Amino acid sequence: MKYRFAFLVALLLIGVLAFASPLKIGFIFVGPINDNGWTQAHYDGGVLALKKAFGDKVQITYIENVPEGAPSLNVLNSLASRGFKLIYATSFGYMNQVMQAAKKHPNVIFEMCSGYELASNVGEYFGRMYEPRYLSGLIAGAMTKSGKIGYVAAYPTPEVVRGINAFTLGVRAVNPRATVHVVWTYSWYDPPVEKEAALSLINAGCDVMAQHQDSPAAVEAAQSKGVYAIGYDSPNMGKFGPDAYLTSPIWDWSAFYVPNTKEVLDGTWKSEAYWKGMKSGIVKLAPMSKLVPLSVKKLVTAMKDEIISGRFHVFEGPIYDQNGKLRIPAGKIMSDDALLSMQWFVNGVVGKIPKK
Amino acid sequence: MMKKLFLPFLLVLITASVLALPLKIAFIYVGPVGDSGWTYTHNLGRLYVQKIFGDKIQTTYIESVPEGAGAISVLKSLANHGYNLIYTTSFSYMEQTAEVAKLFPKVIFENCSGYLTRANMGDYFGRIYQSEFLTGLIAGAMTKSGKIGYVAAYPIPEVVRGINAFTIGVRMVNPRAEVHVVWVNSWYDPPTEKEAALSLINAGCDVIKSETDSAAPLQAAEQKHVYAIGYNADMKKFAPNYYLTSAIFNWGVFYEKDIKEIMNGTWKPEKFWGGLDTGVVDIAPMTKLVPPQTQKLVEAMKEELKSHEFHVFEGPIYNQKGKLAIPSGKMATDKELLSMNWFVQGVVGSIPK
Repeated sequence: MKYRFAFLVALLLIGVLAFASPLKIGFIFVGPINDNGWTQAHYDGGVLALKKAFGDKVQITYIENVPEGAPSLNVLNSLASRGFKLIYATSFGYMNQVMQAAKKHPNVIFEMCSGYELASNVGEYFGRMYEPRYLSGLIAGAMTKSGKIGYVAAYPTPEVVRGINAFTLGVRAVNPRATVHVVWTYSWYDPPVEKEAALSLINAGCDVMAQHQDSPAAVEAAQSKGVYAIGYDSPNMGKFGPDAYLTSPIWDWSAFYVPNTKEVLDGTWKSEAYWKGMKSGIVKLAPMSKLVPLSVKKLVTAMKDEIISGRFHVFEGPIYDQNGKLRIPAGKIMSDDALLSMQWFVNGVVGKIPKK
Repeated sequence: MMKKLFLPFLLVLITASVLALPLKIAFIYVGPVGDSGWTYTHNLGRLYVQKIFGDKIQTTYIESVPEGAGAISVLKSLANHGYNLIYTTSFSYMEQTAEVAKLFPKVIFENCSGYLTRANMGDYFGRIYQSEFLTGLIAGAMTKSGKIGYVAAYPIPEVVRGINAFTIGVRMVNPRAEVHVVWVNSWYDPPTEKEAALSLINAGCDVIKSETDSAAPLQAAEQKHVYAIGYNADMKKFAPNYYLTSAIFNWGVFYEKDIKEIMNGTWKPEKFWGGLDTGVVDIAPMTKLVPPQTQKLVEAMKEELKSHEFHVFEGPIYNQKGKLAIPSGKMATDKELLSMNWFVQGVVGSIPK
């Protein structure tokens, strides 16, 4: 009896202690929280959404402009040493450092955005952004008059290549002769370079600009030249091109951060690779602007429904590559492995994937 | 005991005699079965049910039956010859069908595309506008000039509805494209249909959509090297190098259902108006000229229509003058669809009074 009672008291104490001390959560960001793009989307869907969802139960800090690669290791170790029990690393370039820090701090949970390595205390999370990118391609294909669409792209990684391909598949569904012209900037966030790239595409005859960049510079370039623009990351990009902006494929990271943090709070968290699509809400198409005709809006809404219902798959064959070679046969759907390592362009893309 | 047994016995006898005698079915056609279009597809439906039901039915048909009063004697003669089921496959036979149905209460009549019903007379039609919408998506994707030509029969609601649905599809993928309409004022008049198609092509249209009953507009498109979309039946052979698809009827789907109901004794007069979900309307297989991504889009939109997630005539829809005709969130009712006499935005042409 006595032992049992003592055990219960101990359990109660642990429970009270666990509730009494908030879960300390750290975010590391690759850019500034006001970039109107990638980092802002993580800040809004992460820091702000978690504070709202969990109040006193969490204590959150964030560090902006953490360089990718080796320098991030110190930042991660320092957070873990200061008692942060859940650390969200929000860029692909932190992956190796996250794995190292996780080994050193087995009692800390790390979550790595857009990477692929897992450990017992490391999870991965990302969204199937290619789904809303396909929808934005439908719009670009319907809106272009010149039949040339520009795409300002960061790095030739599978994620970016997949996005360009999904976008082009959408373009070509409504406009089979249109082409998507790609320029690489080799940076996620470098507004002057992004703007320069957009201007070069517009000068080459592109009358719709799309992008895989974290700043709205390409939208601003489109506005200045009187062509249409499709943003990325966050609906805020519309502010930078009121006469150009059509929509953006965007992130709503709260769809992941809130349930994942709850699992950590509840003690039910397990390491997993999270990769969900529009059905989960983590990726979306931002509201389409007034520049998009009602008829096109209806098509996009219907196709969104087809994707969410699982009846339509963006990467279902037949899909041909740039050289006209059949890559995905009719009726086959590309596997996640193939999607996550994609290094070829679909028919309709003008541009090259540089060899490493 | 004897009495109780007698009733089931009698029922068995009656059933046996009904099953033993084939159901005699007649079809009256407005054109020749070789018209490649409307009448051809009804005859395909007849052949389909003949194959399905074998010797349980016996079918006949009469071609090129005059429209209007002239049809009465044909109908009476069929009823007098012991036909138990008569399909009159044109709107222009509706009143005559109703008149003869009164005289022969034991014969079942079905009129295609009409609206009158009687105790022994039903109506049937297909929501071909759904197929027209899908072919519009293809036309909108394929046009380079942004001008699409539509060869139309008569300015009646059925045809206006088809033009509108087609144009709604065109504009979804190509919001600046226009659909130019020429009226032929006939269902079947190959030389005039061809002339109409040629005039549209000369005016810059690079996709021709036919809605009349012959393949003449498709032949014109092939001759002038522009894309062609047919109507009624798969018309590929008439424009082998430029054909994209057709909005088609599968009348056999309805005839089979209808005959089964009669055989089961569950038939009731109804106004059948089935869509893509029933299979009575569809599009013919898209040719290789339609790129794979566009084909996938069309298949997905077909699923949306079949699952009733998407409706062709759901607002906001604007008319030709830019006035809101169907408000956001509202759907045109069947009554509105059946009396449609206005064009949607994107149609170039007018509806004669």
